[in-house]
Amino acid sequence: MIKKIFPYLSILLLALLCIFLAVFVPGFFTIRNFINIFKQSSALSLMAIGMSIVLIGGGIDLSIPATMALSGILGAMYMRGGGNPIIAVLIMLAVGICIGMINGYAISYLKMIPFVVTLSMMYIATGASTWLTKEVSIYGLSSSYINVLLSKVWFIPLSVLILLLITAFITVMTRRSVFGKWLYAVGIDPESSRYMGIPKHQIIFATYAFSGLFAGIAAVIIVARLMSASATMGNIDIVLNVIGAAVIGGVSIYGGVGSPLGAVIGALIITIIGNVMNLMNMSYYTTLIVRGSIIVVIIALDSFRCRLSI
Amino acid sequence: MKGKIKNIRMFMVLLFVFVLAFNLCGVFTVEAVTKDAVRLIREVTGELPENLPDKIVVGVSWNEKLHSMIQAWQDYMIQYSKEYGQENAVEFEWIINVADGDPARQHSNIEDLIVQDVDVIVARAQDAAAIGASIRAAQEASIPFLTFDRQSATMKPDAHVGANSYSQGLSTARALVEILKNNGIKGKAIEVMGDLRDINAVNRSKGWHEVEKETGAWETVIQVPTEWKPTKFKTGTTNALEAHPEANVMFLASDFCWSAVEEALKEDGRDIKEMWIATQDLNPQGYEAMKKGYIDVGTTYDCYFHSLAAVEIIAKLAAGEELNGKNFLVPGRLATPDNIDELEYMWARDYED
Repeated sequence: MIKKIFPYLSILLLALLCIFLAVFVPGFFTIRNFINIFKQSSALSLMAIGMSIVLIGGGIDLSIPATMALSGILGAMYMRGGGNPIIAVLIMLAVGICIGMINGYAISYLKMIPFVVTLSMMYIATGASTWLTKEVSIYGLSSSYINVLLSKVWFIPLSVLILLLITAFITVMTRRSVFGKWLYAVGIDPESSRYMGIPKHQIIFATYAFSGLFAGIAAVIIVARLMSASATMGNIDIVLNVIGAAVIGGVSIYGGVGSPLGAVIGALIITIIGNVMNLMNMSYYTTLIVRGSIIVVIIALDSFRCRLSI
Repeated sequence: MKGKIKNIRMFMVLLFVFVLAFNLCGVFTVEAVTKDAVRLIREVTGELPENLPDKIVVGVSWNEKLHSMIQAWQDYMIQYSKEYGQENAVEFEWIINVADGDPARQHSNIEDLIVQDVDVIVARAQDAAAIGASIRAAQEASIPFLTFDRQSATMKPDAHVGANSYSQGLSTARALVEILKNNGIKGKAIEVMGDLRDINAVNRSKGWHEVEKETGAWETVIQVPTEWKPTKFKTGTTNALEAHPEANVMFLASDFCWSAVEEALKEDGRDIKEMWIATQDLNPQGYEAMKKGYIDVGTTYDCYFHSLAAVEIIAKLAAGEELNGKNFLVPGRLATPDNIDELEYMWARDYED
């Protein structure tokens, strides 16, 4: 029974949370607030999708937020110099993919440890961001870039639509495509997958390239959202939120379990918790306790799932 | 026995009268002091607004809360809003959130304040550029936006309240020129800078260098960037002292990390009293250091007055006054070891780091 419920736990959790909050928190259950939550969670959700692909494949990518910051900074610098916003977007995506490919190459072909490689990459990208910006934010970006990305289709912000489309595409890809099946097989047992003829190295390489790409897409969204780019966008705390979103959403840090859709739901849950704490005007110190407790719950959930071998 | 009881009664009555008199004196003193401070601050903010609403819901977005200065600002704002409310028949409600140093989270926090339909938003920006996005969002929702302490580099808010950090830099530097001149010193200076994303840090540095250029009283031999991080105050100062043993002057963009600098000076074997040290703010650490005579000159960063000014401007914005992005800058006061005990409303006396 528990095994059957577990894959849907994140959706169940989200639904219960929404019902509870709708009753007890005034101002929570409004269309305006839901759009606000989706808007706020879009960048985190995109990074969580990237992280979920890497985690399902049995790895971990700690460099996602730092990659996002560096991609955003390079694109923003290009735009500030009068560059075309479309090329700036391509730069952000390309930088993300390149960093992801470097990580992927080091991990899959050079057999380096994912934690060490991506942690090092996090420091390299943060250092490069700080050096490039000289600790000053990049602003004065193209107004067409900002206006388009902050625009709304009917009443839905474009960033939310982008997120929904990407989530739908990536969910279908991981469930229906050969890549998806190979990804889970590699994540569950890398060695056996090799004997089954699955190109393990290429799959692992691709997961990091994907997470780099999603860091790049998140950069496109967040730079427009903040109308600027800075090294602090890749704040180390964001890594915790990204991993937390994936794990709350049912992705296991031990590999082979979960889905990108779950990671998006996890990101929504994390954003809702922040939103609700603000709506309830909780004191700063209480919010710290709540955040700390969430981390404990995340770890407990994952080890429980691991014990059940789901 | 009866006599004893009589004496005790008399003692109790006297004690009661004494306590009452003491309290009344206290009340009168506090009231007088507050009124005096309000009079001073209204020279900056102007007179009371007309058409004040019955209730003002204020949304406050702090960028972080690691520093006691932010708690002091918040406490003084709430305290003064009660006094202001009683005097002008208006009730203030405060909704407060903290961004933990993350500009993206600060933007989300401000969006949450917008969803709550607050009457005025007050924000101390983590990032002078990124706060522009929040100002834009608030303006789209027709909510007045007041930047506090740190100005926006990208969008004009409805008003700004803060310190005049440029004049702060000038005032400290000019006072140091006099001190060096009187002691016949030609300075070789280490400048310990703040976070260059913070306009206050930039302005203070600007003031310092302008006076340097104007008077030639010292030469800045090295600049130490710190991002306002205590570890960088320590390592940066240590490295600068090693690289420039000839340095005899220091300019600190803020003294909130004085202990880190003091440690670096001691580790380098310097006699602190032989260095000529100018700082800004008079934070709790700096206040103590100046009392000990370690810091020679500084210009105060008056949290108390900033908070008073913020409440006055919040009321104006809530009453619908158009302030058109006006800056309300509170000037600092020059402090030296000789006058530090006489300066009133020093927040560093009420709070510890």
